Amino acid sequence: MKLPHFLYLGFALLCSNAVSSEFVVVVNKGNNIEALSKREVIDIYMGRYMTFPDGESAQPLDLPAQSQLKNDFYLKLVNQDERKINAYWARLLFSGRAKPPETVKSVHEVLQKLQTSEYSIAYIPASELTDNVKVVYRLNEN
Amino acid sequence: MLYPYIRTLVIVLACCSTWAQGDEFKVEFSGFASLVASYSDDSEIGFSSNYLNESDTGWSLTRDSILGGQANISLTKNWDSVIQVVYQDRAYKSFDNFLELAFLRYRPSRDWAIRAGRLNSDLYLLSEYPHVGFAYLWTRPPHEYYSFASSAGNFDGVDVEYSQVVGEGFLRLKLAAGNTTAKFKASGSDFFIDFDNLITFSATYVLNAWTMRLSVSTAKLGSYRLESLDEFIDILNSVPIGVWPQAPSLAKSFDTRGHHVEYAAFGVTYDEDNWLIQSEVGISESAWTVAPSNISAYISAGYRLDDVTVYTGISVAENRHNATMVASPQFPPGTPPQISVPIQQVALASQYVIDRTLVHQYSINVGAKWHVSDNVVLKAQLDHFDIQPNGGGLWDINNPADVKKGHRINVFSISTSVVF
Repeated sequence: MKLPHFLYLGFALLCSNAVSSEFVVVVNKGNNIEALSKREVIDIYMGRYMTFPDGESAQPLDLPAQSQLKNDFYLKLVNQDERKINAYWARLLFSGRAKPPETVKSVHEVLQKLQTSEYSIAYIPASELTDNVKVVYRLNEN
Repeated sequence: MLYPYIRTLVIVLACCSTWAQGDEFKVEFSGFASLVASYSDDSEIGFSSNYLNESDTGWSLTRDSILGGQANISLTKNWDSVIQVVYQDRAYKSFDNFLELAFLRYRPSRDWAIRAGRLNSDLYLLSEYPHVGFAYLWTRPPHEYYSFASSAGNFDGVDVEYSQVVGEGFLRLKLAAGNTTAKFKASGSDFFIDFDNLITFSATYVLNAWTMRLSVSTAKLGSYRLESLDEFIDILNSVPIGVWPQAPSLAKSFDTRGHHVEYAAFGVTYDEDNWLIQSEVGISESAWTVAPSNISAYISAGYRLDDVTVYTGISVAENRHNATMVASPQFPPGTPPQISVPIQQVALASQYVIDRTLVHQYSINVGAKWHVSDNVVLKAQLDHFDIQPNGGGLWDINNPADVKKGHRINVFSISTSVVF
């Protein structure tokens, strides 16, 4: 579902201080995966694989469209800004190949969803990490 | 050929939905649309974006405009289905001609996927999403390359895909088999051509900013439906061989049956920082006169300036073999004109049809794509086409005198494309 435009602007303003955020990729604490490589994160977030390396379903979560955090994450992960990512997912979705990650409204909602969804995977700023989720990758790693 | 697949798909979907567990069953709807106004400056020669669509001269809002809807149906962890319907200005209007995708997919492991139903072809870089203007640079896929490609853009059958990390990149191999029926209009009449035993193999490799695809395909031409072609072939077969020895071979070359079409294509995309460069080359081999052997290619380069990408490109399509020359019938002295004149007219008509299907054209385009928001783009594009004499096979030329002449045609297009 698309959010009203003024909410995008609100998120962008709220996130404007997060340009240089260090990201961590996190999963539910009950997930058997202990660590992912950068390529394995790319495989999931770019729709190449629908599962974690152990074969369990992976349900990636995205931060809101036009948020600085989302743009920064994809720049660091695959060196593509949100505009390129949008075109990329239009290609994958309408070729019938894969569905884009589910968009959630905030980092707070990401953390809530991760606690209840065993197979979700998400990215958050390291500064907002809590003990309720498991870190499987730090984006400054190779 | 489609309906058995659809029936099977509906039955399997119904069964799957009953044993799908709670939140595993999910239906999600999405869509895409392009509203395109385009102007072609030749008032005699019709332009269409592809073989299956109506052609127009002058201004047109329907030539390239498209509305598509898609349902993604998640059934279980390993099973899902996709149904996609695309409404556009098809010359032959039927639901079957608007249904782009209707398949059931099974993923037995993370590396393998098997699909059955109506599937999109993997022949070209854009062949999985030629209707989604939001996803590519131009107002329409390059005319020389994609105009004829549309006739086998989807098919009914099965494909098997294997994906694997190879080196620093990601490799996807796909083998597909099935059949399809291209549904055109020819001079106002229905014109159907069956492509049977369609087999396609494709390999796609993605490495950082590079995407490369190699594909090969073969299909057996089955039966066709076009009454005037039936009559034409019957007349050729009835001409005494002593009068016109070439007539039987011409009759055979006009008939679809017994002919194969082979195709090979290679495409590469480079998308890094502000540059987007894409090129494809394709070669077809066919002994069927109505779809002669071609080579087509294009290269396009775009440069991003903040929200606007400016681009330019050149394209070419031409026949690979010399056109068949129709020999004049030779009549014994004293043959009455009631017999000789109709046969001579058939010979002239044969040469006309052969010349009419030949393709030899070049084009250059310039354009700009403006990202208005995260799901809306605006585009403007100017194409200049240089059609060589006896090379207008991709155009709607009704005046026989225009077939032998060269033409220079400009097409201006402005469009907005959205995804939702």
